[in-house]
Amino acid sequence: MADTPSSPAGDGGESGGSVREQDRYLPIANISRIMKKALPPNGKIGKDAKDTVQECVSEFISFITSEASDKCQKEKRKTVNGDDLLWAMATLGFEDYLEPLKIYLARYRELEGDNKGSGKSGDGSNRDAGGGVSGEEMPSW
Amino acid sequence: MDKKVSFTSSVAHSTPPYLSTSISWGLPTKSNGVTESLSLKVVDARPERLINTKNISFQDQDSSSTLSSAQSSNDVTSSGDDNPSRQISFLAHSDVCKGFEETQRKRFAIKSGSSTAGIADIHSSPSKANFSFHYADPHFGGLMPAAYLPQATIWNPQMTRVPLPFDLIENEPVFVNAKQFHAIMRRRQQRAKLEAQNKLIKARKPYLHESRHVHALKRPRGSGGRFLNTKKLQESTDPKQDMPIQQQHATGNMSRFVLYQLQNSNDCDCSTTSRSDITSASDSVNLFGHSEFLISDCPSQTNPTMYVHGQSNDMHGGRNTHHFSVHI
Repeated sequence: MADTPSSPAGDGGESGGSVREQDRYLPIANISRIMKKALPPNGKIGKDAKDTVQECVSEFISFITSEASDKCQKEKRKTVNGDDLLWAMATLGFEDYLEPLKIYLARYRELEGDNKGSGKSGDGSNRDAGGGVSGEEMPSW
Repeated sequence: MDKKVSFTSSVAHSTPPYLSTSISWGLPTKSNGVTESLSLKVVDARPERLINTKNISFQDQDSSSTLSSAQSSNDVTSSGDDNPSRQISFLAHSDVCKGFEETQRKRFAIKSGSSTAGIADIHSSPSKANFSFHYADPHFGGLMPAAYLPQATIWNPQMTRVPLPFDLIENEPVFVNAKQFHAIMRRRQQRAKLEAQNKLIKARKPYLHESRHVHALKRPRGSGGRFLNTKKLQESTDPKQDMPIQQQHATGNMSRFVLYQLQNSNDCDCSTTSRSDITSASDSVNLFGHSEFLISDCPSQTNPTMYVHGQSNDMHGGRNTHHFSVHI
């Protein structure tokens, strides 16, 4: 029993210098749970479907954040906030997302703004609106 | 409406570099096999669009898989055929054209090296068999000329689209939303930069944490390879009988390699079955459930003849999944 699994363990040893999988992709278990909500109770999701959606959503996050970051660099600001992400989505042709996300962002700031300072609330809204974008994308810039 | 079309274009623009790269490969056999399997997928996607109005490409891939499994005389073979090409197409999503080409060559070089060394790797043997199966099948060759028609349909230019340039001249440009053109080019440069720094994720590990993986290996299992919970463990005595069989199969690494060789030489369908089962097992789906889902017309055809052994891998955040290998 131990012989066969040890072979992939040996091959897949920790490689120094390369970025870890969890640094570039969202956790696939969370993605699976979101995908399952759109299925009937007896539906199944293939492994390849999960991998494809994981890559798609991760690239989409990088896509939106890259546009927002570009704007922040032009305006010489260091913090990407929720409004920058909304602007980036509008610029890239995702206008339909703006209205629900504006409502979401406003409600989020009402709830979280009181608990945190003005400086932290910006980070909080950024972290939430992007779904963890700032945490993941900071090292790659 | 426009948003969805844009998203489809963003996803679809990744596929062409894979096509061009496969043509320019130094390995003619593997490239032919991969191209043919991809062509089959493209052909299958066309009738599905008439039924399904959704334009998201990864859902089309799922539909084409089901459709191809329904159309083909050997359903399990079709399921197995789709997996390698789809796994390769995943790489196309995240890689730039040049980076994709280099990465792909490295990956296949690694696979060739491992096969040359004669290592009994579960993952590489079915994949290799699938490629040889693609190459040997004359039907795939016949599908090649028909594959170009749906491609022209998919990539029809539209009013609000801008041609996206490619490094290879022989390729046709992919049209994307004009608003996203500069952002796509910027993202390509960023991915190329990461590729140069060797920071892109090349090969995924079957698990992230060694300790969790070892723990999952030690857990007792019931019939079908599922983990036993505390109550079932106390009630049933079956795991005691099943454990020696699993241990024999685990320790017999060479015997498994011999089994794969026999399967490859005698019947290609067996290795394809193993390939599809390994893929389906990753999302905690029981083998028989998966068979029923894919082969809805004749569920009793494969169930009685299969004998299943289960293994486990920790994947993506410690989530335990079952890993099956099938011997007929």
